[in-house]
Amino acid sequence: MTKSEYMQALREKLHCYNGALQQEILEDYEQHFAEGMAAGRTEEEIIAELGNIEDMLQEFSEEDLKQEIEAVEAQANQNGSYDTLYREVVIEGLVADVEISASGDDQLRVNYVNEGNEAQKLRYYFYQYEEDGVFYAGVKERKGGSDGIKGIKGIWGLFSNGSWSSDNIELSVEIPARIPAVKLRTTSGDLTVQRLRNQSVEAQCASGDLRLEKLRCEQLHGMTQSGDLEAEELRVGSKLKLNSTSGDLDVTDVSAPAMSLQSTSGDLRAEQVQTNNLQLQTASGDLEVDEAVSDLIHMQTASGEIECRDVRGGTLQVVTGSGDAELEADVEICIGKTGSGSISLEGCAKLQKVQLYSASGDVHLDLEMVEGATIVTHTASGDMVIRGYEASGRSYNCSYGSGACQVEITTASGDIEVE
Amino acid sequence: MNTQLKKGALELCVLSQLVGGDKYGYELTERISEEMSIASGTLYPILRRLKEEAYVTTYLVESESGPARKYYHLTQKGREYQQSMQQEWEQFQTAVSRLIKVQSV
Repeated sequence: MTKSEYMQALREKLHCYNGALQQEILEDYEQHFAEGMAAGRTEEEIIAELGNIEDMLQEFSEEDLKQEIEAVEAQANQNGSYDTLYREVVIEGLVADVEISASGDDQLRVNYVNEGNEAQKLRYYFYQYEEDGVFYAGVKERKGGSDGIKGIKGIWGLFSNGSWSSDNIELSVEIPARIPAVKLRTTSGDLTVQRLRNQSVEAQCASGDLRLEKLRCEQLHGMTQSGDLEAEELRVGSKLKLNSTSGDLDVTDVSAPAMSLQSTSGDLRAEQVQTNNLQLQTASGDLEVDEAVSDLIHMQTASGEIECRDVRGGTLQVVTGSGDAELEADVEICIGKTGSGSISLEGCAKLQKVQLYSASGDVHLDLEMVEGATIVTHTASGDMVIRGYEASGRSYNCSYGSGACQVEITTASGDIEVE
Repeated sequence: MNTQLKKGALELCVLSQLVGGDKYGYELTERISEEMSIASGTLYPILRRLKEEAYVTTYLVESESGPARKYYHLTQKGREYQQSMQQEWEQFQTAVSRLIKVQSV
């Protein structure tokens, strides 16, 4: 270990104590190193001589800690109000549950409450500062906190309940609409964002759940890792992007020119959507779209199921590997592709072009509301029933009415049925 | 060793080292670790506590070896405390010695 590593460890472990104490001990150790080096010792020798940091911490009295706890207690509840026109607000809630809402006036308000036990109050503290026109506030964990607190537990068993639940830490912030950018982040805390009118909003959770409600902004980006994301009543002026790693995404009543929902293993669900471009992508999750209007809808999943109900628009593109695609959509163009899953498309009246492909799944197409179509179907080993006619052979062509709608269906081993 | 006992003993050692004259931290820790194997670091919280109890005061003296040396000076209160602790320790030590001998007979 080098001197700087040792001093860094010391600094981290002293974090639980008050500033004056920290500074004094750090100075004593610096002095000790300087004297030792001057006496010709190596850094390792001096470190060995100074000994284990935990042992040294045991020498501190209960008083030293009590004073610090009192200071922390005083800090456990904080609130402030600020009227500066910041260009950005950055809130990092960490383990705290964070509630963000719009300010009724031009005041930015912050309210922090830590109702945990002493250990929790020692471990997590509130911070707030501004720099370069950006307002920062949030919760921080004392570095080396858990280690430092183990040391404290050694001294007095007062904190010996042993569990580090981070319940009862709450941070609420009211943000005025005139601040252009808002960035919000939590790790395990839940994040709720309501009624914001700011130009750009970015909200991110790790394991906490993210809830976006009644937001009107130009750009909105919501992210979670394992937490779920729920959004309701969003009016976004340009770009809406929501993504998760394993959390589910559930979106209701949303309008935005472009909308992207992405997840690795989470399920994606969108209901009452109005957009020009709707993209839903997940690796293993299911996709569901309900009551959507969009010029372009693209839905893609590797192993999940795809379901569309009451979808209207221009082009619908659907890709799934092993899942089924069940589509009830009134679109002009529909392109669907599955591996082993089956595809079913119905409810179309204004269909102009449809291409459906499945390797081993069945394909079902309902053309009852389409006035005329030209139908071309191919299958390697499946059966084909086209408008009630059992077609033999591997390919079949037919047309009816105006013949305007171009239909092309291909399967390898799946059956094809057109009604 | 029992930590309370060790704590008291170390305090007494530190205070006693200052009876003969002021010393700076490194000097004190060197002196004590010559006689007993302790982590030198543990002496700094003790020194800090002695200062808070007003048994010692500190002052800085510029040093060629780097940062200014912090010297510890025994106050009148510290002197009295050292004496009473020394007395207590000696009585304790005598008692312990006697008891150990009785047991080994």
